[in-house]
Parts: sequence; structure tokens; C-alpha cells
Amino acid sequence: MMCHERSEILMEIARNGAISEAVKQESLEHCQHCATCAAELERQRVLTAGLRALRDASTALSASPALEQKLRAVFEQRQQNNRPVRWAAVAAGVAVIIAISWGVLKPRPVEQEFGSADRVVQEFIRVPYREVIPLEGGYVVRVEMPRSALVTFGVPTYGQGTEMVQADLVLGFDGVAHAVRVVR
Amino acid sequence: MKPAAADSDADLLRRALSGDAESFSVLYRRRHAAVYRYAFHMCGSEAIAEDVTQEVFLALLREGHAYEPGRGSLASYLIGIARNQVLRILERERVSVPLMEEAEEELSTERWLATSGDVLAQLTLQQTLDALRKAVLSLPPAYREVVVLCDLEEMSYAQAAETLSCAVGTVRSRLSRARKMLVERMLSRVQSARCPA
Ligand SMILES: [Zn+2]
Repeated sequence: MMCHERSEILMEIARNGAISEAVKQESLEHCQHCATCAAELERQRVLTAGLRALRDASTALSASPALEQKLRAVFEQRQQNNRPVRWAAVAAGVAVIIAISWGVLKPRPVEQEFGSADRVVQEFIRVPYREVIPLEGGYVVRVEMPRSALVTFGVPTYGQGTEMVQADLVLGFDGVAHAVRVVR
Repeated sequence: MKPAAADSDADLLRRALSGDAESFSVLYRRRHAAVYRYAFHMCGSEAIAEDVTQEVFLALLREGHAYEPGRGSLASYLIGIARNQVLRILERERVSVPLMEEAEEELSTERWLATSGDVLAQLTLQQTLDALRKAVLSLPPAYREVVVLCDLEEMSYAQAAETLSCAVGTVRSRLSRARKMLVERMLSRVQSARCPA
């Protein structure tokens, strides 16, 4: 075997890698009378020691504790958003269009109706199918609906109830709801 | 069912994706540090390592259903996601890595080549670690990652091959080449420190 063909074997000897005992012994014997390979083995051993020291010095490296909390919050938000099934949310979007066209839901011009008396109780929540339907434009409508219907938009409802609530819907130009917030 | 330390990664993931927040936390605590270290050693930035770790676990929440235990360990799967992120970042931002010449402290040839305990003496150890960290960061990414996975994260060649989607022989030959480059860079660093131009 030529000296340059031994480099992987010398590396494995230096880093205690998987190598047969016979191959290892043959190369160690070669190193006893070949200064080039002996020097290479020595450098590889020093490099191994250095890399192990770097590995040991790195064991304490870790993401900040805040990241776990952040991910946990995302996890819980996803759980809330995933509760209603997508078809129900899509159906709700379609239902909004139908309900508006039939006059069941009463859309109100946002600019005129949003006064200081409005009590917005939530931020907008994106409905669960947002990832598959990108919003490239649309408009906001204020509607009234039974509180129980909010769940189809991914809004957690507090108690059942057929009471009517007002909500703002962000609708795409296709009429599909992308986000919702409860007004009162 | 309360998640336990003995639960497999695959079990924890399955329960997490079914909505069990505690299983997600146990899985995160078990696996996030290796992801973070991988990203840190690849990019040399704590901020990037934190971002990559975040993206990896967000991707796990989004796409974890695609993980198939029969095709490899979850640890390799996570590093695989981190790798995609890291390579994209390295490509996009061309993350500047410190050049060896920037190291100011002298590291003598004798100390570097010596195998005695002197090399690992505390003060010299810090010099060695700084120089070595920079040398690793200066390697081309394909060589850097085998050093990080095999020598710093102690993955077997088989695990590294699984993570990198390449043959075991490729991992071994790249590692051999990478280590030669590391030795050359450390020696040239030592020589330039001794004979400043
Ligand atoms: Zn030789």
C-alpha cells in the first residue's frame, strides 16, 4: 500500500473509528519506519484531541429558554386553529356569500359603522385553511351570526348559545373568509 | 398519558401531532440542542442557530406527519431539516466566516503539534478552540458538515450518510479530506503567526 493510500486508515486510527485490528496494526507498524505517515498520524491525533475539546466545550450550547415558550405558544395556537375541520371552514366561507346574497347576514359598510362605541373583543384570527388559500386582496364586512357559528371560523367560543354576535370578516375577492374577529 | 423519558421520539411526535403539548415539550427538550449546535457550528452565529432551531420545530409541527420512522431516526430527520435551512442561509446571505488570519493570539507549532497535555492546558485550550472553530467555519459547507456531524456531534458514518442522503463511503472520504484541510489551515495559521509578512 502506498503512503497516500493510508490517509483514511490513519484518520480512523486517530479517531478510534471502526477499522479492523489487522489493518490498524499493519499501518502502525508502517508508521514506525515511515516519518511521513508517522507525522500524519500525529497531526490527526492532535486534530482529534482538538475537535473533542471543541465538542466538549459545545455541549452546553443551547437555544434560549424563551424559544421553548414561543414554540409552545405556537403549538397551542395551532391546536385551537385546527379544531374545526377545513371543509367546515370553507363551507362557512361559502355560507357567508350565500347568506349575504340572501340577506340573512347583514353586511354593513365598515367605514360608516366602526365608531368609538364598537367594542372589539378580539384581534383578527386567521381561519384554519389560510395556508392553502393565499389572500391577495379583499375586503372587510361586518356580519351578525349565532355565537355557535364562530367555531367554524376557528374562533374559540365561550359557552354554547344561539345569541347573535357581531363579527368582522376579512373576505377575499372570491368571497372566502380569511380572518375573523368578534366585535361584540 | 404523561410523556416519559423512555418514550421513543416517534411516539412523542405522534402524540404531539395529535395535540399533546407535553409530548411536544419533551421531544423539544430532548432534540433541540443538537439542532442548535449543528446550526451554530455551520454558521458561527448564535442568532442564526436560534432561528434555525425555531424553524426546524415549526416545520416539525407543520410537516411532522411526513416523518417515517422506518426511513431513519428523528434526530437525523431534524438535522436534515436544519441542514436545508442552513444551506439556504449560507447561499442567500453568504454568511461571512472569520478568516484564520483574524485570530490574534499566537498558537505555536510546538503546541499545536504536541500531543502532550500542554495542548489542552486551559489557556492554550481556549486558543486552540477559537482557532479550530474558525478553521471549521472556513471549510466549504460540504466538508464542514461532515466534521460537524461526525466529529462534533459524534454521528456514525451511517447516521451522517442518512442525514446527508449520500453513501457511507462519501462521508468517510469527505471527512478525510476535511480533516486534511483543517490540519493545513491550522498549520498555515501557525506559520503566519510565526512569520508575519
Ligand atoms: Zn508512509
